[in-house]
Amino acid sequence: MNENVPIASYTELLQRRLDAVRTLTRSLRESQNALLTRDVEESGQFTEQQIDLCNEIEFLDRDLRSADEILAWAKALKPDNREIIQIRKHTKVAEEQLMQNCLVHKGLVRRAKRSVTIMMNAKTNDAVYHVPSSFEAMQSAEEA
Amino acid sequence: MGHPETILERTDRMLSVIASAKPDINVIQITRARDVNSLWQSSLGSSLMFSVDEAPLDATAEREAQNIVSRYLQRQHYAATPVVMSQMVDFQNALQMRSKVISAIETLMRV
Repeated sequence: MNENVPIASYTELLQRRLDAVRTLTRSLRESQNALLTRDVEESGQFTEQQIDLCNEIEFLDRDLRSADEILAWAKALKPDNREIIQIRKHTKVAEEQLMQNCLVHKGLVRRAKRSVTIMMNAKTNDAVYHVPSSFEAMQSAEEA
Repeated sequence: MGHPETILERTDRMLSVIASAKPDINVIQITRARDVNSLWQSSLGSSLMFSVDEAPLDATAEREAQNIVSRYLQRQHYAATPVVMSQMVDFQNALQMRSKVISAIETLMRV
């Protein structure tokens, strides 16, 4: 049995997950401007991309868990595999950056939600027609 | 010298002024758009208030969010773009979706 094959696949899964985490972090950063400028279309495109990346990470996590079980059973995964250790190290850093960006984005979304609610309330009040009192109408007519 | 204005004539004159008085719609719309847009900017720039059931924000992340907003406000040119209610509703829905994404990321990173 060639034990390099499962390790290579496992490494590839880890690398794909690392790439997805990094892309998601970049996407969150790049979507900040669309959020602040209230660009619904661009914001929607970023949201779709982020949903896809979340799904990809979730699937990869599932595959990695299965691979962990198989490799542990087959004793094919060498713990001193440098490439795997290196990818795991990078992944840890990437995950920390993703979480930090996520918290920043959360703050921005909270602000945007509050602001848009205030704007909508103001807009609703604007729509109410202001009926001048008879005194105001008479006064403006007298001044004319 | 003409005859003094009767009550009927005076009322007619006043009513015709009231009926013909048309405010400059464009000026009103631009002013309102500017007011509503300034609400967006002032509200974004002010600190968040919390309710008791909300988890407190990470202080570093909150500072960073504040910096991002400040930088945006500095480079923002004041424009009175019209604010359409349907767009606001769409944007509110987009924000809801974005909140779900944030929750999904938090869940994924906790596992």
